[in-house]
Amino acid sequence: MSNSPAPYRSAVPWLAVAPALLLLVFFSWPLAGIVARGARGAAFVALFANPAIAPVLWFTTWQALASTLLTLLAALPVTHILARYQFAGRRVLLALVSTAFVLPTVVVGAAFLALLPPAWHRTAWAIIAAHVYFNCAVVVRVVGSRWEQLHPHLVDAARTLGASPLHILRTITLPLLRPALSAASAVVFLFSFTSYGVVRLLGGPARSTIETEIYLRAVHLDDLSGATALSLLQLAVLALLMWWWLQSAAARHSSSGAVFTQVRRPRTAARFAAVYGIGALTAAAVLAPLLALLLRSLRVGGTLSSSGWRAVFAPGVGSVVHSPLAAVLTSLQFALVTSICATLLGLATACAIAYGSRRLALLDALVMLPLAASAVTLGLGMLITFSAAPLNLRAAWIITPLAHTLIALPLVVRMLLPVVRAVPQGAREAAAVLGAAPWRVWLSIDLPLVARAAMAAAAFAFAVSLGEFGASSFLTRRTTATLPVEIARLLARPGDLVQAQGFVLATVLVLFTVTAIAAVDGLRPERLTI
Amino acid sequence: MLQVRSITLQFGARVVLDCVSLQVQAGEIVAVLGESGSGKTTLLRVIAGLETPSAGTVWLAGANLSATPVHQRSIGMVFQDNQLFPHLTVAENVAYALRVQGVAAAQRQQRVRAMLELVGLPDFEERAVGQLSGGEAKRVAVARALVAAPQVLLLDEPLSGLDSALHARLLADFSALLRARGTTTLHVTHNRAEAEAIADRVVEISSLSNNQP
Repeated sequence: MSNSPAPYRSAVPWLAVAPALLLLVFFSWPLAGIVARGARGAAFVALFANPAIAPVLWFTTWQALASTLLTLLAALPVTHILARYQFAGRRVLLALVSTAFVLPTVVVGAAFLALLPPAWHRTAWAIIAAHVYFNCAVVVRVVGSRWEQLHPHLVDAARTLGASPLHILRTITLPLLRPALSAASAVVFLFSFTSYGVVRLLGGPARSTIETEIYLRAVHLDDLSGATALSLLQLAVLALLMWWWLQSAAARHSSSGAVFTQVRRPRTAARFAAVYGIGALTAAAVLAPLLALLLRSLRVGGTLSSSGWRAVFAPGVGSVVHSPLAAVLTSLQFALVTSICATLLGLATACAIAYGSRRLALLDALVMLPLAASAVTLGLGMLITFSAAPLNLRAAWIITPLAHTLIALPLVVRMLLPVVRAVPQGAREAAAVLGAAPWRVWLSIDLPLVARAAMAAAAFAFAVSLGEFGASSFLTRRTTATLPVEIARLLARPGDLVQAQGFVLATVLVLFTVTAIAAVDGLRPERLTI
Repeated sequence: MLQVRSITLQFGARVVLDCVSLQVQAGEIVAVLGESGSGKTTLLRVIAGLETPSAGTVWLAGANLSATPVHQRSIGMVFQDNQLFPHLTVAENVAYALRVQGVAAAQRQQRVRAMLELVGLPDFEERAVGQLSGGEAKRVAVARALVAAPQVLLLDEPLSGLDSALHARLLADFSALLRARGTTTLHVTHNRAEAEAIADRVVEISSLSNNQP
């Protein structure tokens, strides 16, 4: 422990105990359960002999490729104007694009159900459109931050050498953006490949991805060995993709140029029109599905009506327990529990990593693992592991917020670690020299400096829990259904009033999520422009 | 002959160029002197077509360039901070304009090699631009601008930020090179000694403004 800050040496190992225990019991054990059940030859033979599986693998792959390609095409114009130009509404546009990304997948699915004509429902294109919708933000962030670092005079230089705009795009801009483009494409592909909520809502029997097929086999077909075998296959594909990405990412980031940021106002009339045109079009594309969602929640029987809202928020006496309103309350409770657990454990983890020796960097890698496995796999693993002795939690409500905590923890640690590391060691030593015991040093020096970030992390974990659908769809029961689970259930049923209630809940979830994310942004220090 | 006729450029309320006029004869090297912030760089950017003036016109060999896009003007420019393309080698940087013009590979290679020898960088073809010293990078930037034989070359403070020994050597080299090739050149600098050493004629940027129509 020789690298630990002087006041904390003896405390460091204890900090790692709680997060390590949580990960071991509620992540490693379920994952081992999946491996034990799924990694049997017979299960795989049966899986691949099933004629229903090949179309699932094929659909999962091609829709992910198409989603990636179309996301790039749709996002590059708005990325360009955000990275290069200063214009009225720039911050709003950036916030709108980012909002689309943080919306729960179930909400995006519901919004596209509301927006698209019924003939488009249950088609591949509805799924791909929804993927493009929330992944545009990935391209804007990843490619945009690289793009704004490209010196605009590089383009000027190429122009004075006689290159046309198209030629410059091909020979200068795109080659210099290529590392960022590949990184963004890899992330978008990964998200689309493992997409679950969107596909559950917008897909149909013939539009199943690996993730929804796992759910179908585990929950509806009672084919646990098939589900676990598919989970393993999914894990293997993800591991392969990550390995490939990490391999190439190292080579890619070696040649980054000087940092340069310069946004300027569009000067010519044509550019002015292009910038505002692209901006307005993108803003409209982000808002349209949300507006459709709101309108659809107000339409029952073909006319404008508040009966959907009344059915949710003023249900008849005695029906509250199983009503959609119960899902709102359940979600808020779970989000609160998740927020508290994830923030405390995340803070302990970040401190253990920051204060501890190199051996504790292992905890850093360990805590990231739930990100690498999909939420569906986590849910399936927890379902099969904790439905029987020695630890039967099948009827315990805590299992869902525990899963949410595991999913939020890596993100919370990522948010807190840089802040904990930035606390000046000299201040701690000064406090210790002045007679403060280690706990007092931490409370008087570290805590005030990380408090803001911890609150932002808490709000973020709250939002993650509110929108979580993959694990929840396995772990909740009828009495503990969360908002996303209830939305998916209502929208899968016929009946105008039932559907309207689904859209009401989706609208409520949008409001909750946007509020939580606004709190995160308000609590964060000023960020880079993109 | 390059003619700048009554160029005015405003950024918002700020007048950067106020009715500036200037002529450079074919083959002449003219240096424009001015303090930083006096609009020297902006003047070059207007001539290259990188900025659109609020009023006034730029003429080259009797033709009005107002409607001509940057890449069709045949006006080369060496940027103050070079702006070498970081993802291309030295040879690929220099060959860029030739490639744009569709010059065949064999001829391109030959002209790039000849150009690199002219600027004193033989055998630098395969170097990465990130590994060049300040003086080498400047030579590559000049080679890249000259290789396509532009009708006019614009030099934006090409020798600022170099130590004095290097400054003197590059000044002599570039001056000889431009004279030998007869390149029409407009050079802007804040350094009077540099201006007088390289140019046939030195003008103060403040003397170029005239508010009479």
